[in-house]
Amino acid sequence: MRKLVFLLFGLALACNEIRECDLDPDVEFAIVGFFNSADSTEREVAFKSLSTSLSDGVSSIDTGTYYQFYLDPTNEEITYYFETDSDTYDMTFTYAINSVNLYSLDCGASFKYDSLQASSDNFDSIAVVGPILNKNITLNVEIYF
Amino acid sequence: MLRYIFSLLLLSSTLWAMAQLGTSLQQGLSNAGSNSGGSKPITMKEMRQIRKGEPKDWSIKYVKVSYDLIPPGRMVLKPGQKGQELQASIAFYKYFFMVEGGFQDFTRSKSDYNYNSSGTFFRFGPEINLLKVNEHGGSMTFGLRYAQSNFSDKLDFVKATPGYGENTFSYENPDARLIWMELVMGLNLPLSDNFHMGYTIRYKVFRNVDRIDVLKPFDVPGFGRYQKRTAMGFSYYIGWAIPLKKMEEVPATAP
Repeated sequence: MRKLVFLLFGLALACNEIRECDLDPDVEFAIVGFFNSADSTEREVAFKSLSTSLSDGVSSIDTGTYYQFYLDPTNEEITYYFETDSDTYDMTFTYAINSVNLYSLDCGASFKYDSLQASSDNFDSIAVVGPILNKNITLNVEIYF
Repeated sequence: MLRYIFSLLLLSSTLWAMAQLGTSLQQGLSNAGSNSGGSKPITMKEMRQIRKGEPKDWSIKYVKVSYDLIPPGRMVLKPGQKGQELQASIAFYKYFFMVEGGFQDFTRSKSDYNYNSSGTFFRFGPEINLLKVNEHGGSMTFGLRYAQSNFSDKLDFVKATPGYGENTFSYENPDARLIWMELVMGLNLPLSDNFHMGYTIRYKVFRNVDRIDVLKPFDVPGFGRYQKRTAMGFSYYIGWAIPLKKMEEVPATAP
């Protein structure tokens, strides 16, 4: 009888709401990595500024190899402009909003993106290795130049 | 805090009902013993053989209409969660056929979003009484349900995205449908001749949604949280049984 009481008490508590933002597996940015086109090794890059087709000078970015590029939830296409001392590069992301989810009442709504594509005329080549944006995916786009 | 008190009240009701069941079972066994003259106890195997020999009456014994107390309880504790649910059942031999229906209107709000889900649902399916058939309709049942919910939901929210500022979004599913199956266990006890009380525990599986757009539902009337592939449910009923036929007496020759 004690076991039954314990089990039923556990069941009653389990029926209460889970308050975990970690249940949300979605991210709203693409992870882009830069590589040398000659030998496919990681390449450190430094851009003076970063802007998009919607706004000027979103931010300046530090030196690094992997960057997060947020996608615009009001459109399904966004172009980023990277400015260096000598040149300006651009890269266009196209994507789809797969779903809008409310995983937890505490954490608000989130977008699930998929069908990610990337294109540019400035780089040697671009490969989309992860078309779905998810916490479990560590790299979405590889850029070689 | 209120929800914990509510949970404990449900727990107390459950234990009380189980105690009643234990008493009923003891009485049932004692009656079986008295039929044999009280001189010789019988084994479970003998009891089953006796039952096999009893006549099976497949006519409809009674129709019962029940009201689920959980939705009004939830309305008191959480004013944004409105709903009502009714159950109708017919009893024949040791089987029941159940039809359930109701509506829910849930609203969830925080500073950055407002979500509403509203619609109707119905379920139907058979149940079998695991206890000996008795005139008063006490039962411990196991059964299956087919269930369907027709609902609409809408999510309005404000979201800030780095680089794109704060934007307002609105998504909705005006005519969504969810179908699922349930495994149910229930306990039902007569409190007086026709007045019954009991509960049903539901395990909801095989959910399948259609007619939705980008927005994934959060609450589905009758099912619960959509994000989970399975869900548990609990209904606590009070019901009124309308007898259609009085049960035949057990033959005196039965031990």
